[in-house]
Amino acid sequence: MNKSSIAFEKQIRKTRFTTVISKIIIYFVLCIWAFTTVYTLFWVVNNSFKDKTVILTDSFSLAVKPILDNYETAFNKLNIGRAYLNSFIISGSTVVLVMVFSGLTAYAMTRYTFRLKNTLYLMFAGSLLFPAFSTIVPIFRMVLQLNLVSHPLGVIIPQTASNLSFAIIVLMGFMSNLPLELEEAAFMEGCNVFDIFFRIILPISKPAFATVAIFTFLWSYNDLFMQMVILRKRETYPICTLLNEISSQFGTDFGLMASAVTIVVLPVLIVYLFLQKNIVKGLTAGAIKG
Amino acid sequence: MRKLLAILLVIAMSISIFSACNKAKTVDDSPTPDISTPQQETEPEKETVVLRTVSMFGGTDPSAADYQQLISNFMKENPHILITDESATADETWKARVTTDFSSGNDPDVVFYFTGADAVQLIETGKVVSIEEIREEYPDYASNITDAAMSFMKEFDGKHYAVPIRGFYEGLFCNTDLFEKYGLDLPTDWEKLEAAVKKFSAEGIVPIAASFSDVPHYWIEHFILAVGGYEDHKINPKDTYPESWAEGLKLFKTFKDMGAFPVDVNATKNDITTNMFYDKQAAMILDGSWIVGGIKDPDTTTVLPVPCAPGGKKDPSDIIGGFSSGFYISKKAWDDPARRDAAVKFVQYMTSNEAIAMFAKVAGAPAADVPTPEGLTAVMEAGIKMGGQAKNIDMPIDSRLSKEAWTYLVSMIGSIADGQVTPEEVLQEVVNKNK
Amino acid sequence: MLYKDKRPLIVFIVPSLIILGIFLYYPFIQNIINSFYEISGLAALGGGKYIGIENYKRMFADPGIHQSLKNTLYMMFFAVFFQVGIALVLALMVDSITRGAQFFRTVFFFPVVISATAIGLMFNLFYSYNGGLFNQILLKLGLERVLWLSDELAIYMVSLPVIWQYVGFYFVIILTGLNGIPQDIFEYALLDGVTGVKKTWYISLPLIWDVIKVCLILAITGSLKVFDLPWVVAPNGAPKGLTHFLGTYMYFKTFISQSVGYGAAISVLIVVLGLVVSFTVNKVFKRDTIVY
Repeated sequence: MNKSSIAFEKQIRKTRFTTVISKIIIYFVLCIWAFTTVYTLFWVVNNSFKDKTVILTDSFSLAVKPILDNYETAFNKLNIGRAYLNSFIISGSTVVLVMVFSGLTAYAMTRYTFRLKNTLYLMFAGSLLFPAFSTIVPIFRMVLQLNLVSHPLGVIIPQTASNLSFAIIVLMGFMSNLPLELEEAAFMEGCNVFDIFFRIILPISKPAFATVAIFTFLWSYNDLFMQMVILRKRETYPICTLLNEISSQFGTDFGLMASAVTIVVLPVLIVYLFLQKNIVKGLTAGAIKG
Repeated sequence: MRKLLAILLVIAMSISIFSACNKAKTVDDSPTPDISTPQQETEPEKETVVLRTVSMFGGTDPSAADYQQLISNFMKENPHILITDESATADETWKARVTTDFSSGNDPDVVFYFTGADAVQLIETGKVVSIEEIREEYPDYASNITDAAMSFMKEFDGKHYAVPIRGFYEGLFCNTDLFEKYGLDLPTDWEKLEAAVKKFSAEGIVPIAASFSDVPHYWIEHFILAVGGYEDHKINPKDTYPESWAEGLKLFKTFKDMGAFPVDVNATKNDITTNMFYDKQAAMILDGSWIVGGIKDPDTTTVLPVPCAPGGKKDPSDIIGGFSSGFYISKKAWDDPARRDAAVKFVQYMTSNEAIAMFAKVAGAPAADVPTPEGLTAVMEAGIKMGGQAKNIDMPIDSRLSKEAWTYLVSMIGSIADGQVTPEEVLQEVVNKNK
Repeated sequence: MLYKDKRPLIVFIVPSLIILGIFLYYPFIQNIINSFYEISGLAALGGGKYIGIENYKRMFADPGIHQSLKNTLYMMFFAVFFQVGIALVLALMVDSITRGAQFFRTVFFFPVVISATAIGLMFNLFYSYNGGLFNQILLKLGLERVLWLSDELAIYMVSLPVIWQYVGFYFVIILTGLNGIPQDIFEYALLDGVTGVKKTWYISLPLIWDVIKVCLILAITGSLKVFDLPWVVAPNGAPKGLTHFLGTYMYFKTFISQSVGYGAAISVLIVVLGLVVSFTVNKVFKRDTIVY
């Protein structure tokens, strides 16, 4: 045992007591917040097993005798599998495109200094603010001219545009802190910027990309308005649009709505769990060292 | 795992791009046979006409299945017409989709849409063809529709555009078992209505289920009708408003002070209040014929016209109702000789007596002379009786007012009921906005 | 050295700008043009009557705009302090534990994925005066029922679900930032006796400063656009339009009142306001970027 690790040991003993107290407080707070979030999902799933007539009067009790009617209606009336595939095609492609373009742009925005940089940043921030309702008509006209109405690309391209600024801004936040030394060293060894981007920046930024991918997937997946306006044929409907058919946004069949929400939420949670594995502690440090 | 995901995403991308090419190809292919196959010129009627139709008979609409059945029957009878139907549940997004189509040059050929204020933008911009114009070429078009139904289709320019299929009525629905339980008479006149409101309020039962923030529409119309009668209700206030309108709107405060509405009437939602009525937590609700399908206990529910207010000019039998939607043929379809004929055929098929009987069996009154459907519940029969006995039936006020004026009036109801603004101030602004 | 040569910028930035230009900036320029017209209904778009800056003049006199502007500023304040604030605290807490961290990371995300329609309905059933969950609890405790969506309380009651739903979003972003801090920095800190709150204050926070700044910008722009959840919880700004935000008011004017030109002017206001506030935040919170 060397000197530093003895000091290390002492330090740990000294703080052990306060650590226990603070741990208790931390877990208490976390559990309270977790209760509110878990309860909500439970509430939705629980109500999806109830008859529509009791939900408004009795939504907070446990569905003791769960019924599957709502799911049967959904699965019998609609081609859920096909809709899942459509959603996957649209949102998956949007994620890939957004990752590629936003990764390149965010990298350049954090590394280069150039004259229009601040203007560009404000332009990106500004486009976060465009309400979808005020840009939909020109977008639809263009999609129409490109002959992409009722085609996945007709949704993928506009959605890529509307998620791009968000992705660029978030990625910039993550990338601006990355150490420059590695890049300088690689440059000395003869790498060009593209090598550096693909060999160094991408691997270190994996957690950042995973986070941005999750939200891009989510926004695109839940973007009912754009999907409704552009996709007209039932066989091209993604899952949200299809389920909106049976539980219209302002409709009254809350049992169906609860089951629809459950059907919609499931794959997103799976994608989240899947991508979240990349946002694990220590990965970044390992990547830098390695 | 990440690699797997990456591969999956790349596959997804390529599928979508591949299908793009595929689609582009089919689009490019379709016109070519027209040029290369000469026999089409000798038999022009065999040429397939593709007709794009949009309606609100989608999702869980009770008529959705019937509508699809009618479409497939129509295509069997007319093998040269191919219908691509884009029906969906009617909500604001659906309306936005239809109007976006029209403004982008993607006009559907036939559309089942609302009349009145919703249709103004389609008519003003010349997107739809009037029935008068269609009849010059097809004299039989919409000839089976009753004059009464057709009169509701008259638009601001005096012409008719939509062909109606079924109508609606509005009335005061009452849970008769609650009236019996507390020994009250049904609200057939104003005193009985006020007596019922006071008694229920004292007993802790919500007298009238309503939501001012969501849909106060029915009470606006009926308070004005109760005071001003059919003649004043019919007025479209362009320069000034009838005195009876202000008197009618004052009743919002009178009734709220009496405890007629739920405590959270300013912020609750229509779904919740309707459910209060269904579940017998509320004694009355003023609503349209579309709610009869949801009534759980039709034998202890009835529907009455709102009575005449003291000093009011309303005939006790007058109701609000009419026809508020129908089939339109777009200008774009009309200007294309091939689709013109197909579109007319389609609308005629969908508005034939047989089709109208099918649509009307779910709810509301048929737009043509067809026998009354069988198997109606007690409250449905009460509704039809109310409609039959009505001396005058008028369309709701919002079918005449500009959208701006109407939505402004609706948004001010809560403040009127709380006495924060006077009906006179609000109506003056309504007139200003109703240009 | 490495970034002296500016030519690769074309490859890095131009593709994004082309996509944004065609599918966001161009449509929004159209929107700006529309804001000088009187257009009744989307179908009339492209027609309409040119009325100059009438729509903008109208905004100054419109009490609806004043109310929504006030509420939006409230929402912005809540979003910055509570949404980002709570998310930051939760993220620091989850970052400091090992047992159960995975669990909390997963469940905090739930509200973000559940549609506004479902969450809105749940809160409607919490707030409802007759038989709502909150009032049922109060009655059980022997207390008086409360009108949750009264004129005074409504704005807070409508903001609550909005704030709560998106805490998970900022939580994930901040947590990602925290996880990016190399472990060895903390090990050195521990040797120097820097632990607990001090560690957080002097090491973690400065290192994720840029990420927090991003969260602030997203919270500000988000509250200017907020639409779907308030619309479901309290449609039409219930009660009496007191809970309208700029986002809901713009929707209301465009789709319900069919004043498309006026709605276009409101969205210009949203963008201008957002740019001004984001610009200020960027200036105020400007710090030298710290690299690990």
